Amino acid sequence: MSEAELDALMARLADGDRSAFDSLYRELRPRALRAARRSLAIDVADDVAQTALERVFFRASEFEGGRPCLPWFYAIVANEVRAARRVRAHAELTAEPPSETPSAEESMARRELEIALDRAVGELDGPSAEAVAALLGRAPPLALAAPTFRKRLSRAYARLRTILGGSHG
Amino acid sequence: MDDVGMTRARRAMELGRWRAALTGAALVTIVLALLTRLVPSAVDPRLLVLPFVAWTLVVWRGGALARGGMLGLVAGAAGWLVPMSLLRPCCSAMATAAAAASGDCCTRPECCLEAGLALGVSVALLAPIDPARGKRAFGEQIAGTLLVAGATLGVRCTGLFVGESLGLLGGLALGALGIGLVRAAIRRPATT
Repeated sequence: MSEAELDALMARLADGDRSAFDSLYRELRPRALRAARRSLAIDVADDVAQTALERVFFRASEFEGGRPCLPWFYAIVANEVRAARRVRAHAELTAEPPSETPSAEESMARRELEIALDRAVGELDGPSAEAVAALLGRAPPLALAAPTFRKRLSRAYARLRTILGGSHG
Repeated sequence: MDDVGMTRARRAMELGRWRAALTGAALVTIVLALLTRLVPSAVDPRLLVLPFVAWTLVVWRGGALARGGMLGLVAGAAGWLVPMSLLRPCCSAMATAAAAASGDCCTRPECCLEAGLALGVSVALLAPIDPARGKRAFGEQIAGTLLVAGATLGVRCTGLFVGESLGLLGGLALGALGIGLVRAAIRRPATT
């Protein structure tokens, strides 16, 4: 639909012709969605686009026939987008910082991870298990040259990835 | 298509129209309330609710009805300004209130009918005809005119006798409808 047709439809709606509503809504909705998605996260953008559309139609009777519709429409949408960004920024500023002490859920997840890791380390061969234990501070440092230690760790990581990936995959 | 979103947008549009109509009606009512100061005979200000409701309805509905309503408002306000010396030619304006209280006033409802007719004819002649909108739109326009003009003049009629009120309102309706129907009948069909 051309801009001139949009202008005419909006002028008819402003005059009270309700039959122009459906076509206008179908034309303006994708435009509002695109405009909102350009500036906002997709989960927020759809709601903001809908709010902006409602605002546009709420003010439809104020539209002056003979003037272009799209600049007026985008001004309202941009206003709603700005308002949404302000609200979001304010919410982030006033949000409580994350707690230092982990929640019960986090503690449980961490504990399960440690158990899984212990089991996986238990399945490693002796030298690899010793290297991992030394790295985690559970055993005294090994009397090995650094390149040798790194090589053992590398083998241990590869094996751990296989074990943990297999048991959680 | 998102039906819920469309329904919400449509509801928002209707709310917006109600808001605009109510705001406009409040302004019109305030102006009419000020106009009551200029009317020599007493009017009941509670009846200002009539033009308020009429104006709200025609503006909310919009289209030809609202355009006619604007003309009706002008006609109604003009009806308020018709002097009592014209409506009651054999009574002086100063003596009207006292004479009415004594039931001794020489009323002449036909003068009110003539004034109403003059208003109605003027309104119907002034009403623009848009060939693109058709006869139905013209009919709506005349209906809007009569609704708002009738409601506005109705307040004025509280200061008049029954015969005078009927003359004024009936004259307005007859004049507007008569000329409106004639104009609609002789209107050339729209050409594209």
